[in-house]
Amino acid sequence: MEKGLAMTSPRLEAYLDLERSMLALDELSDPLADKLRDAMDPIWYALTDEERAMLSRRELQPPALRGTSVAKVLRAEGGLLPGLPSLTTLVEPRTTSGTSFRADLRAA
Amino acid sequence: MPQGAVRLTEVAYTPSVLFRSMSPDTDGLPRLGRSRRNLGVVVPGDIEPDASGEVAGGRGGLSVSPCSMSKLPPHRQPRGMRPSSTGRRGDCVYSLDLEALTGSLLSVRPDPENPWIHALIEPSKTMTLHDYESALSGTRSEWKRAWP
Repeated sequence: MEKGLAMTSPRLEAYLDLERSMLALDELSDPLADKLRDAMDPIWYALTDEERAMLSRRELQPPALRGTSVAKVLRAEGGLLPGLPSLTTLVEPRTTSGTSFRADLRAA
Repeated sequence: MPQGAVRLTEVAYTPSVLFRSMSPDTDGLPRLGRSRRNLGVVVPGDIEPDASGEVAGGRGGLSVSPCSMSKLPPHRQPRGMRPSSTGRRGDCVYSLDLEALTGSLLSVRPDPENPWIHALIEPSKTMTLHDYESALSGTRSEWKRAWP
């Protein structure tokens, strides 16, 4: 189990992996980023309420996307997908507003 | 159904406003086109015409989020909108009042699997794909920028 995430599921992992790759391609202005973004839609809606709430509470901390060239990171990792660290190592869930998203859903 | 009424099927609630993240065109209104970042549907994908090229309600349409832009998936929220947003920087969130669809060839159907967070703007009756896309394009001036 990845540090920082209380629980994971294959769908959640798939979403996070696609998200990380999508962000990397976005930084390179690669139009394929939108293909990955499109692929994330059905996965998002197939997640549980709890998984969606957890993802919506995150504060993204993408060190690879902040100061370092993404292309350099990709080369160092030996490719786009297989060698990249899991996105879950790049994000930290925010724990101070744990129920806000669910409350929002209920209120709608 | 009365002429001009907005049809809501499988009603679990009545969203008065719908949200969608889209690329702004030079005039600030959403760009038209067959992309999930434009005001348009991906064909096939978002909607499937039948063998005669016609589309109908209940078979997909333009994806929107009801009631609140916070219900957009994080990867559709333009970066900077929220700490968790991973959408394309430069895109905007637009809102559409449900009233804008009154009298149009369009209706709103909440996603039966996720009615609180997802809905579809669909054809209100069987029509050609061209007519459906024209009806969607006809809403362009009704979309208001909600973010930024």
